[in-house]
Amino acid sequence: MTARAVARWQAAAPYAVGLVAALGVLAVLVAALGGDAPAAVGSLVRASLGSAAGFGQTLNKTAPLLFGSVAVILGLRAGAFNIGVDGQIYAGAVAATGVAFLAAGLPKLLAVPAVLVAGAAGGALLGAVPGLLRARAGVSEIFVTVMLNFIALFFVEYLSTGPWNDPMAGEAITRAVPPSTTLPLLGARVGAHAGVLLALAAALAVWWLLYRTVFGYEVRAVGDNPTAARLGGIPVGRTVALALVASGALAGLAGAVEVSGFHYRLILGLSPGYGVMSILIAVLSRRHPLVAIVASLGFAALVVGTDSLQRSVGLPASAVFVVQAAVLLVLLASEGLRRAP
Amino acid sequence: MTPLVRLQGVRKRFGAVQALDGADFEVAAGEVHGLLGENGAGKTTLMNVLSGLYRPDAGQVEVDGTPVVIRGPQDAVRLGIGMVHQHFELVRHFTALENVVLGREGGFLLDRRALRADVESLMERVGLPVPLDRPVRELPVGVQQKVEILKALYRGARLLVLDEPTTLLTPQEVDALFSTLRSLVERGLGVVLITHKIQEVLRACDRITVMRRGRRVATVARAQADAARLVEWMVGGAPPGPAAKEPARGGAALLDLVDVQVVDSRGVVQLDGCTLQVRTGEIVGVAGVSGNGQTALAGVVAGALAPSGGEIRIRGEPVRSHGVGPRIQRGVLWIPEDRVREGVLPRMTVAENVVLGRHRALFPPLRYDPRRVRSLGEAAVETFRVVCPGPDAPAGLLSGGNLQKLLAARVFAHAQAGGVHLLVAQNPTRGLDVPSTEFLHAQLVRFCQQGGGVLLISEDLDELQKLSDRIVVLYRGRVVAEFTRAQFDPYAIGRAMAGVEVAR
Repeated sequence: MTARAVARWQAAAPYAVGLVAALGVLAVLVAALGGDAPAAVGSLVRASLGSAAGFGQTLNKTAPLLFGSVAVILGLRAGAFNIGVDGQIYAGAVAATGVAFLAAGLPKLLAVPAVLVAGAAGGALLGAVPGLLRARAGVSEIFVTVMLNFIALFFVEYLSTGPWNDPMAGEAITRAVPPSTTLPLLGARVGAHAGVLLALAAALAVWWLLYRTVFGYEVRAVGDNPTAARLGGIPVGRTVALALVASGALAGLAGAVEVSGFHYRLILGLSPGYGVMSILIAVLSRRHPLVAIVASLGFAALVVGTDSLQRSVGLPASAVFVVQAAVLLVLLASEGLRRAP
Repeated sequence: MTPLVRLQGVRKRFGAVQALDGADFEVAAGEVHGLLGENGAGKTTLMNVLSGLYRPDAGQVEVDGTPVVIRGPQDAVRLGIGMVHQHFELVRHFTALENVVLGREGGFLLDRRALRADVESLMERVGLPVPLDRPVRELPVGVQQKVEILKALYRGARLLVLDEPTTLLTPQEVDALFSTLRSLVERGLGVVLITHKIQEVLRACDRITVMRRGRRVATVARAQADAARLVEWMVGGAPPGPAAKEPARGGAALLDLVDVQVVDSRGVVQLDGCTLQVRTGEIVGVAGVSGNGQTALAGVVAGALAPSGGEIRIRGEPVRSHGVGPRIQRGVLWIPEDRVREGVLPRMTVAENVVLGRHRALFPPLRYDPRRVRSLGEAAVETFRVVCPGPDAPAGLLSGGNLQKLLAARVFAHAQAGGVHLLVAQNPTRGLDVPSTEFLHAQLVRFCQQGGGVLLISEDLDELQKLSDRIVVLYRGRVVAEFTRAQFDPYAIGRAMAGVEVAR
């Protein structure tokens, strides 16, 4: 094994320790909440990774998390903090749903790409606003992206309860998109849709962009030291703005994939906090898109697994959130452990 | 009379740089003592030794004639030494009162009323009123400085050291500060005013000590001091040594500045009608006391600043679009002064740092090649003797001197690859040891011999005289004098730098 490979394994070790510790904390918490701890751990593993259907659920959860985390990573690498992933997911979902309604008559081979492109464009549009404001007027992207989250969310509420509402549902959801616009399944037994493959391709594309293109070099330079980058001839404002547009497009794809792969419609609760989780994954992955692949998968397994505790051990939904949060804290602490020496 | 504080033979070394090389200094009670010198002369380091921030490698400190050992800031405070740093050390969210009494609250519970009475009577005695209940962040800079002074006095300072106290002040605030200092010394305190501004020491000080390269050059009473002498001491009055390069033979014009104006974002005029020329094969030195427009000059030539008036021509063609990128394309490169802030990409590798500025010329947009970057970086590091763990190491791990060498390597590697016509170098050898300085000088000379031109902006007159074909003097944003090699005379140059006489 080369020195570099050894270093990589050593870097990974704290996470393994963290994972074991997290499972321990989970067992203790479940016991404290009156559940059967060994059964809970077993069910968690089975529900997320240990069965074909469970693994499918995990893959479906991985798709938006991976899109979202590489979106955050691309922003962070340019020195911009994109907190607007949720808003961009919704913008992408709106655009994808709208195009899906319009594309009703098209063959699947045309309709699906059109829906995906629309999702990317919707997210990119929402990413362009903070990008331009920061490049032109120096406005912090943090404010702008947070504000746009609200705008996007309320716009979805309007659409899902108003013009696109499904009158039969009695909920804030829209009519279903035409079957010709939905993503194919990876296999009937697994129940996973093709979105995770798209997300995987996106993560690889972000890696390629960052490390194999001149633009990616400039993004990394700008994020590292904007003054030095500017004096190196790099147009800093334009680079940050483009990175935020691309970041928004990636998040928008998450929205499109959720609509056309999972829900088959636009719903108000489309993003159960994917934006925040994406930030966590991005930081845990040390801003590296390939590490984010593994981290997103792990995160998705955790979310799917702990969700299952409601059914298997009979934990109330709120207790599941407590368990999730506690496990996350332990994982984040293990990140701190890595930095300590 | 015993001086309040005396420092003798103080030595302090940081890595390769001998910051203090046997420095002596003394200050008496009842005087404002100016400590004058260029950036890097060792003024602040010397006073940091006195205030306990640095332990000296050698030398003696006496307070009231008694030798003392100052192990840390607390020792200095106990001895009555108070320092007001250039960047204030105030808790911005605390009120002025809380800042003044910080660390001296006594006991667990704050007896606000008693503390307040103490501070109010102190303010009255020394004539320094400040609003005690406002958070410091809401106060103007001049008032924040008063809070710092009060803090030092509250801790019982008998000697007040102020490091470049006028940098951030308006002219009115400077006037007020100087009259405050005057009243403090009349009350028997000693004051040390660290500055590189000659007019200030002449206005505010009773005695003046000039430092250069970590040593004391001279101490004079105000009455015996004049601006020209002070500048000579600051910049070094050594007669010009042998030239480092063959004289240039009147090549084609590379750079023309005609009446260039630069006004910064605060509305302050930085360059006020600057006119100069650099021809092929020529090193043009720019002398001047720092703060006379050097940074704006470098910025406007390198494209980082847009001029607000005048004309810039590069190789005879007027420049219309500014920005560093377009300037690099026309063959103008810059070795910036502040390497950490303006030069280095700390988390990227040494090799990635080497190709910055050249990356667009090296690779088509979608064909960035990390292996090529690595090999270019490896070659540059070897050629320019940058000491680092390897081309893949993060540049932020490098020491200051090696960062400086890395930036020079970036520029010279780019120049070797061709298409570079003009280098702008601002204090390129500051912080470098002697062999590295010699090496960099040789690189500059070689660049000129290959048909390039250099605009060398430096505060080191020896360096300018050694390398330059011509020296122009920048004073208040204008070129006030020009000297050809035959006319080099440190005294004449020094006088022009002080704005004493305008020689043409």
